[in-house]
Amino acid sequence: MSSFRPTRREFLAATTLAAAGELFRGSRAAAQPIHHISAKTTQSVDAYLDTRVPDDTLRALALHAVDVARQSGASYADVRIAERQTLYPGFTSVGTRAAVTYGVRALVDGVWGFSYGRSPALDAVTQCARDAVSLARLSSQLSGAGTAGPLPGAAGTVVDPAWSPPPVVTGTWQTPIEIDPFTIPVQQHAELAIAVEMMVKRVPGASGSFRIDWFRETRVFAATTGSLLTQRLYRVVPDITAAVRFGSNVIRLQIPELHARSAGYELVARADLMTAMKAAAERAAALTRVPFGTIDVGRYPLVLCGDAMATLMIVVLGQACELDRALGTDVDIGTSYLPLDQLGGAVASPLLTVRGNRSGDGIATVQWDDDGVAPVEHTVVRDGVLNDYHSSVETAPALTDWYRRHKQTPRSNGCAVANDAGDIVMVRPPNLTVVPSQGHTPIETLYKDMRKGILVLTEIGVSSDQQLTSGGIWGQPFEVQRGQLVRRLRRVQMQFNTTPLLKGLTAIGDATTVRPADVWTRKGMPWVDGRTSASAPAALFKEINVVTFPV
Amino acid sequence: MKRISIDLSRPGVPTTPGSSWFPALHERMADTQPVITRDQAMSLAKRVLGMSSASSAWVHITHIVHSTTRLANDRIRDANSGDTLRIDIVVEIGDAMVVVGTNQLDDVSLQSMVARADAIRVQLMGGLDAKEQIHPLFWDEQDTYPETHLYQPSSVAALHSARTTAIPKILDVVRGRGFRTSGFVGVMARADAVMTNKGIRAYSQETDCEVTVTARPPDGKSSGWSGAAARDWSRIDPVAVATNAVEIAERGVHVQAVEPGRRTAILSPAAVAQLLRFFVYQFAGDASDGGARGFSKVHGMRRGSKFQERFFDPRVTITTDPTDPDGGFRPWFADGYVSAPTTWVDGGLLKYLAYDVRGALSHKKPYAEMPFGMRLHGGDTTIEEMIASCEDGIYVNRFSSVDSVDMLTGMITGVTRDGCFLVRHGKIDRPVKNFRFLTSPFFFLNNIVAMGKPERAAFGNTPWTDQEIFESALRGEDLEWPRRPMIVPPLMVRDFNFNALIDAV
Repeated sequence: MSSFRPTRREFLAATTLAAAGELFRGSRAAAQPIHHISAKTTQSVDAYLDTRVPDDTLRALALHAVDVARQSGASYADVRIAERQTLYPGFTSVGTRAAVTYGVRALVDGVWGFSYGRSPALDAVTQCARDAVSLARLSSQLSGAGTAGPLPGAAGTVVDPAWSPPPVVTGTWQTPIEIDPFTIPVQQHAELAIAVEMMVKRVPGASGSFRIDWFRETRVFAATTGSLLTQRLYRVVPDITAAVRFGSNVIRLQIPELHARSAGYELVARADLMTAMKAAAERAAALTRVPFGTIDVGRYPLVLCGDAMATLMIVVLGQACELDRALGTDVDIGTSYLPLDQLGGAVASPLLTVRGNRSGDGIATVQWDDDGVAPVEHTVVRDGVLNDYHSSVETAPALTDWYRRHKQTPRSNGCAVANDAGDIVMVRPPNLTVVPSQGHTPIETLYKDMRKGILVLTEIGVSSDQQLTSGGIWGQPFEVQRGQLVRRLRRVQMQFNTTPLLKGLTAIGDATTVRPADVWTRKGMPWVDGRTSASAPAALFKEINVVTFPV
Repeated sequence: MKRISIDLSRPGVPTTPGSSWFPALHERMADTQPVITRDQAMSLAKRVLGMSSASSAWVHITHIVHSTTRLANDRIRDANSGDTLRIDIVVEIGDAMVVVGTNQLDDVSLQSMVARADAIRVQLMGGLDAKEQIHPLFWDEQDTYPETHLYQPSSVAALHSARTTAIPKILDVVRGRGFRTSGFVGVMARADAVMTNKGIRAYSQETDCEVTVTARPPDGKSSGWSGAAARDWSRIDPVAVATNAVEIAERGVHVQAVEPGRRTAILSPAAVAQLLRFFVYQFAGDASDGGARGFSKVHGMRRGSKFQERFFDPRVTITTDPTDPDGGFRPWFADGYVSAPTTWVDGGLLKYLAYDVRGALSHKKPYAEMPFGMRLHGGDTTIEEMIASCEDGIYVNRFSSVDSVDMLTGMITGVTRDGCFLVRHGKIDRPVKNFRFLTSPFFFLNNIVAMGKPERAAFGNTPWTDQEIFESALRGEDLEWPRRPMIVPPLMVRDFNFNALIDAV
């Protein structure tokens, strides 16, 4: 399993809870603060969770599903079945949910069929497997027999993927954690949230936002080849910020170390959490004192802090290097400005090197992907040259010649992802790492000589287009003159064409400027959410187009 | 390999699919009732409430059945079917709320869910030294709602048949003209229910369908898109959708770049719907009163909103109605309260903002759901007449990748896609390279030249953005496909801000 994320439903539940909390706090003068809670009991959410489906049952159901698919005529089939628990403790609300889901993928006459379900019963799983085979057979009849995925390249050529099932593998694995968040008493979760808010409030004008979504999932993968894998996955998606607000004057800062990742409760059970929150609030307060102003429309040099750079990289490189996009698999869902004929070509400044992995400090960390493949670290962009893609078993054959020319073994990079066990399997970005400069390059160095330009020190939003050729950035930019912050810019949007922007990367920060970020990415139809994380150093770009709009 | 025996005697694992509540998916899909019925939902909710010791509790049930097919490169890319179920119990205590959910129907799972909710509730009550909260409207009896026609038998049948009837026709049309096909055929049936242990009994079932087709020549240098969406499958003509997509693609070859800038724009209903996605959030009463929206009296200050003031062209009227014959939506919202027909903008004047139940009580306002299923009333000018009357402009078949830039001003950005043409001297002159745009409904709804007849617009591949997820979840809209029906006219507007060229096709 991969870039684990809450399902849309879970996210909805979480955010609705948070919202409800905000409304309560805003509307009830006599509201009772939860920080009066004392640890009278020590019951954890786990204590009430007595319906967990045993791992053996999940495995047995998975094996049964692939047996049924084979007997029904599938030349290959695999299944993902999972039980997932979620926990959303907050200031004013506690949410928890348990769900069993599964999805069966079956190949008949070279065409996939997919069916999903939720009942962990033999009959239901049997029928789900049969439905997947029936859908594959029907799809094959309707669209004409073919191979598993003759995908036209971006130039219109047909690539023969020579699809073959992944190697047989068996095993079990668990996300390395120290403390299972589901064993922590509910009050302790709530008290932590209150303590953080109280700490932030010590800074005049500041308020804290503390929401952490915890996920625990046992996911079993089985295939007709004989593969059988069990992974116990822990994920955390924190949204912990310090905000300083004076009317419409708001600065919101996240705590760099607390980002979406594969981890346990130890992430927040750290001695310096309160200090980090207070420091973030003080920094936000300092930034609110920079006066507002405007800037003329035009092109300006741009410095992005590490987390803003990480966000940008997820959107314009992480997604563009998904191999199914690059192959032009589905023009409606979206393709890429980096088709295969760009391999080996310069697509960015020589300063840019971006690696993908599913073993490091990110939210996509797994031992095996949803094809049952052990992921490998891969460098998608090396010194500005496009070098590799995020791939799956289905898509990887398109790179066979490239790998052989470079004396590498053709392989999937292990980026097949079904975010929920019941979701369809697609290529998704792994954890991304942008390599920092080796020299001493703190962020101040990047703008100290800037005569007039833009500096972004807080989180940003990035939107792009269906081929990721262009985009817009919004957030809280500052104007820099002669190396000094002179004003906060209102009513501006930064727009770019991707390739010129990346080729205009002029300098990159050192390891001290590296920050993480994570963003939602969505793919498929109906669309499936995914969370992608990256870490990146600060960066200086030659220019970005700044447009303004009136109030 | 060692095989593991399946222990079906274990408590919590039902031995028959779906237990006694409803049969397995394959049986339901062959039936006329694919989703949980009113009686089943009420019985299930009552059973859950009966397990709880809370004096005020809600049960929410959502059951969705999907049958979807995605086309890519002239073939079925994936065919997908299944169902999802969610059962939540919600309890309020003092300033806190406990929500516990499951997707299992067996008694052990349900009892576990309720036990967890009760145990957490007791813990929080003990810690808070607080009493269980009684929602101000909790005692309201409510079991009758406006009658809607959201559930259509033809769509229920299409859960099974849409693939076999629509896909060959679409492929025939597009392939037959020498183009390649991407597309989507989706059918959904859904049931929602809310019950409290005092008086609310809400149930709704609905169906919805969407067909979209993207046609491209083998060189991929032009693109045409068309889509149709309806509650009733029989109102969708896949051949017409495919034909329209091909014709746009055929007219779209040999694109030329024209200078970006402020130009007259003729926008198809699909394009207008994309522009209004974020406009919905301008009607959030709490945010607007707090100074965070374009309707706010003072930005950044909690000074209220500019009711009765003119924001738009006098031809602009926006309403919502659960019984809208072209779309409609569930006639209740949030915790089961009635979603009444509402006029939001009348003759360009702001008339109404959305306050949820708690916000409404706090602000002493009537409560209303956000206008996700809005109807922008129109005129009688056809797109052909708009083109004929246009001396110099751009026709936009579709916008894509639309995202919010600034909620205070309603500014949005995005790109044109799948059909963008220069209009000169009353005719389509030539296809042009795609643009990025930057605009706001507060601008373009003030620059209206002509309005056409409203229709349900298909959204196609329009994933929720981060901003939408945040704002929607905050206000009770869920994030499933399909999006709630939006009924909008084609528009002709002047000075639309196409502010950059892009390379994407």
